[in-house]
Amino acid sequence: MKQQKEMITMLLAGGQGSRLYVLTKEVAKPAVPFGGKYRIIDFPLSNCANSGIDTVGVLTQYRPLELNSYIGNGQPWDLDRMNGGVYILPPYATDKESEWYKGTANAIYQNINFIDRYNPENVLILSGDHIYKMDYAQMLAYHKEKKADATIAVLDVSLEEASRFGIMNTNEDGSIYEFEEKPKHPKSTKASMGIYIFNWQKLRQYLIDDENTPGSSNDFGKNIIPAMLANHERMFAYQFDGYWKDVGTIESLWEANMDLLNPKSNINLDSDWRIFARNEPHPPHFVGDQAKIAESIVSEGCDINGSLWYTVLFSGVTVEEGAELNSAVVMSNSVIKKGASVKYAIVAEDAIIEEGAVVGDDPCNCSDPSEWGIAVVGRGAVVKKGQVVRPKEMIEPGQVR
Amino acid sequence: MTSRTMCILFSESYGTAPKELSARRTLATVPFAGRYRLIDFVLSSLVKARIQDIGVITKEHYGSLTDHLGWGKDWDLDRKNGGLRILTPFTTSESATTRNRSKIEALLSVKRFIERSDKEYILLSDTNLVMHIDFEAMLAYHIEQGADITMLYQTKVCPNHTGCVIDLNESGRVIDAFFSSTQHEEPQNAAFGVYIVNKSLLVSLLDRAYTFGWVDFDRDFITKNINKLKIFGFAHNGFSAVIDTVADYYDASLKMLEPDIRREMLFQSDTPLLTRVKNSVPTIYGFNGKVKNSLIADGCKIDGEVNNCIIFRDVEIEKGAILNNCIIMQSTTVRAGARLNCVITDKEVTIGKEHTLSGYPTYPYVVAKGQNV
Repeated sequence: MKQQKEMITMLLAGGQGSRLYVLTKEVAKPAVPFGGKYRIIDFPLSNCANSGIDTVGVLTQYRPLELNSYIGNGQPWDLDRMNGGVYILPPYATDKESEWYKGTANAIYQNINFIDRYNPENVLILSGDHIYKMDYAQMLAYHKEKKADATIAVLDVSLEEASRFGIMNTNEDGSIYEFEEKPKHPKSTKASMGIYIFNWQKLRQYLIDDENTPGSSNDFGKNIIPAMLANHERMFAYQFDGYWKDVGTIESLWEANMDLLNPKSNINLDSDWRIFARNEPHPPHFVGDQAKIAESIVSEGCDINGSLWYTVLFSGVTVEEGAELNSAVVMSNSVIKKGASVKYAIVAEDAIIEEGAVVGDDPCNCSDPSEWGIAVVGRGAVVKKGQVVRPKEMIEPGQVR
Repeated sequence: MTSRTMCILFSESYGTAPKELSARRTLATVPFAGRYRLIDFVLSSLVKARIQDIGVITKEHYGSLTDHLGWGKDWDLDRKNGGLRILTPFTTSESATTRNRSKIEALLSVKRFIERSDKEYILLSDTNLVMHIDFEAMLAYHIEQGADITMLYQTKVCPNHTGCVIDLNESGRVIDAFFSSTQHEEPQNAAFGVYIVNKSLLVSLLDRAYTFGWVDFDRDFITKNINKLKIFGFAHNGFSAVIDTVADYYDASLKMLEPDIRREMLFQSDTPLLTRVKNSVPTIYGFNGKVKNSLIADGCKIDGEVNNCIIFRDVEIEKGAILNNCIIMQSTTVRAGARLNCVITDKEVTIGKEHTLSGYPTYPYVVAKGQNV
């Protein structure tokens, strides 16, 4: 018999993240590495662990192998539990049909049985592509205090940005009276963060109704939230004011990494609210005689003899003598050889940048700003001696340039 | 072959030990090379040789050991059959006087554990060894020679070696074994505290030990039986260091900064050095950080100058601090402008602003755990 839970989490991790291009060719977006020793999904999972949530269903669909093996038994996030814990929930076949997750709401709909096993009062819906630290227990307290049927976390954005988000228009008591998806003329600046708490019995009914509505795109933002608003359910906005970043694009992923180096950015990995990750036992990193390191993050197992400036190095990266890195993100086990230059770039795992190769450049050296962007080298790719990867350019995984 | 072997590890030396570092912790758990404990070396070698039935004998204050090892999960030793067991001191009314004062007494206290095992070979090893031991080859050699006991040794010049030295004949058989404490300039066969013994023999030796009041493993088990038993020596190749004193510790630690030794001992991917995994954040370097020839663990904040040092986890080095040839253990804070030379700080030490401390390369200055200088 399962013990009833106050709240369980359903984590939507099936997205491809097509705007991360070469970085998500082989892995799902939530499994993309971040910040030296983490992956994006570590943030929502660690938030759950720190908020005292012990049951998490992870809905996977796109290229799940690496994500599944990373999550494993959930032990790094304290989710290896007797009653509850972490469950990978891929789409499945039934006696009548087999179908993919058609939308975010459909993914939850297909797992009604899973949620019913725990018979929770509330369900927390998260997506696996945001970098933030948040106490879901406080959000739940707010949800209960307001006796809400649905609570949606919102973040104040600037008026210009507001037209890129789903905007919640609220009354003074925080109740939501209107939801506008990417409005041209936003009435408020409260942007939805894609974090929802629903009363489970309410949501359950809406999911079933939505499934029976022909032509629905089975999406929380497009269908479920508007339907609940139309029926005047009690819906509240929960104001969040910490660091939050959608890392769905190359630029935003790079920026979020750089934010770790900026003390004013308000994202601090080293605090009581720890972000947990599945770690391998690498040795401490070694810094050689020729190395110069400033304003950078360096992980275990690195061997550094070049110069780093505003750079994030993942574990096991080698930077040889005379190599220069500036505003770069270099993922696990890549090698930057003698005299190579990597600037304003993301280099994925196991890549090799050979002697004297140049990857990316400073925007100041670019006369036409529209030509400039972050250069990306895919996983396992090789940039041969003296080759140049221009700003904005991308090297496919495994490709030899 | 290795599946027919059980290992017993001694977490203490029952002899000399780097007192300054092991007074309040088990010798096996003296922190080493930025993130490891001494016992990680022998455990990793055992795991590589697929020896998965391991008992660790403890003496006193073994809290640091249970803390570090837990159920052995980080070494993949949380097994249904065998796995890692911590053998705590156990006294009964008959054995009340036995307080594990020697290796033999320690083995006597776990005799039942040895007897109950269905393994054929017992591997006995110290844990203050900084080396990657090829246990699989050593065991193969033991079986091939039909040996009763096989001892691990290395021919090397080690002027300060105090311990067992062995002589071998052409066939590799040990013909002499004696305690040496004199300074040596020429190479000698220094024995490590690593033995493979057939189980039935070990049990009968322990019975004799009880009868004759034997206490010293090398003297009473090896030397006294050198003609009766087939005792062979197995040569170790590669780096090795035995940590008996603080000077040994300091010397072996700084050797990890030499490129070849570092690669062999820490960065070699075919013998992963396993240890307890913790959740530290990556290390962050500030604007004023200047680091040369040093090993730096995760979780540090470095804004000072660091040369030829080993820096453990979660250490903070403030702007203007200068460190040369130091070993700085976990959660130490070195405040702005402090200068340290040849200093070892144990865990959770704070060095105040502008303070200067210095030891000497052959006699490092040790700051004890938790001190505020």
